[in-house]
Amino acid sequence: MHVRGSSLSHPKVIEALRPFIVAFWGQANDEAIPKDIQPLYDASGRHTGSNVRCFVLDYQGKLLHWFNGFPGNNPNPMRYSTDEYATYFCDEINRAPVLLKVKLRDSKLSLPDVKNGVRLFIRLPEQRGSYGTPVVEVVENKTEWATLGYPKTAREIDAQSLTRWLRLCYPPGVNEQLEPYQSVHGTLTLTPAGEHQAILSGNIRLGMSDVENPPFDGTFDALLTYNRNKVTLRGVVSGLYRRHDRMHDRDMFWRLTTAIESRPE
Amino acid sequence: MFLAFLAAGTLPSQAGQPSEILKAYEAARPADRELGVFQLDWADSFKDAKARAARENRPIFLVCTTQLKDAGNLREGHC
Repeated sequence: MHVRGSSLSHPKVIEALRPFIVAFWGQANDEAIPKDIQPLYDASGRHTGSNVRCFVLDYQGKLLHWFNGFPGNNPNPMRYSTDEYATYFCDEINRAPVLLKVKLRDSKLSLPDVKNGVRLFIRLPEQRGSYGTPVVEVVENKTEWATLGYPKTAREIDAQSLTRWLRLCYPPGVNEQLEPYQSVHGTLTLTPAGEHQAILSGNIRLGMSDVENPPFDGTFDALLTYNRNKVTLRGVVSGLYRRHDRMHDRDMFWRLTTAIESRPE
Repeated sequence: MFLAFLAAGTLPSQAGQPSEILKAYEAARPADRELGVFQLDWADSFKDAKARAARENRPIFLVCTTQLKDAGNLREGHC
């Protein structure tokens, strides 16, 4: 999370990585390291100070340079500023003997996308640094558009019917929650707002199965526009994400928002 | 208990006029400058990156994480 928010999002690092194809592999539950990645770990040694390792490879996959994901020896990733992360990453990337005649690609924005569904931007708007970096998820719809068909009169919508969207409304980098919500509750109202528009609105509760993770209580408001066979949606989930700080045994309340937009445009 | 959560801890709904909802959506949607990580040229996997690197004659930058319960997705952000 800190690598993504502080390093990979920084303009200096984005510029340094223009020649590169960027990839990620994450180990889940002590699974074996893949055969094509294990040699990279073997070459870089066992102890590097953190569980994040970066590898610079040439166009044939040959290892040119590797470095620890966190700068310095301090095991606390929060100890370093965004600029310190970025400077460290740029210095390490530039140490690799990459061929100079590499074509630089344009750094155009390319967001995750789907053929027919929604895109969600989940964020903690009042947090800074890595915690403030938005998450972007996409969902290919199945029955959601049918569920939200134009209402001739106001009708209730069970929030569970939008579980595939709402379960993703959780923040990044919170070690206590590393997976989507497991339950969605709430009753929304779909109300006509003119001949071709409707408003979806109501309170929701998103929950996990274990008692250690408190539920998220929030609101979901969206504007739907109906045009022939196409539905356009613009909406927001908003609420306070409760996180228990185990180190200090206290609850923190972080404002969380999710902007939801239909795709394609 | 189910109804209690409606009063406790929820922020006011933006429901009402369409313009109010659109305003809330625009305020919540990040600006392009906040989405810099999506300016990187992401491959879907390391295998995909190697295939593209050989085809396009370009180097690879691979980030790996270990010792976590979930693999996560560094590009999308839930990690």
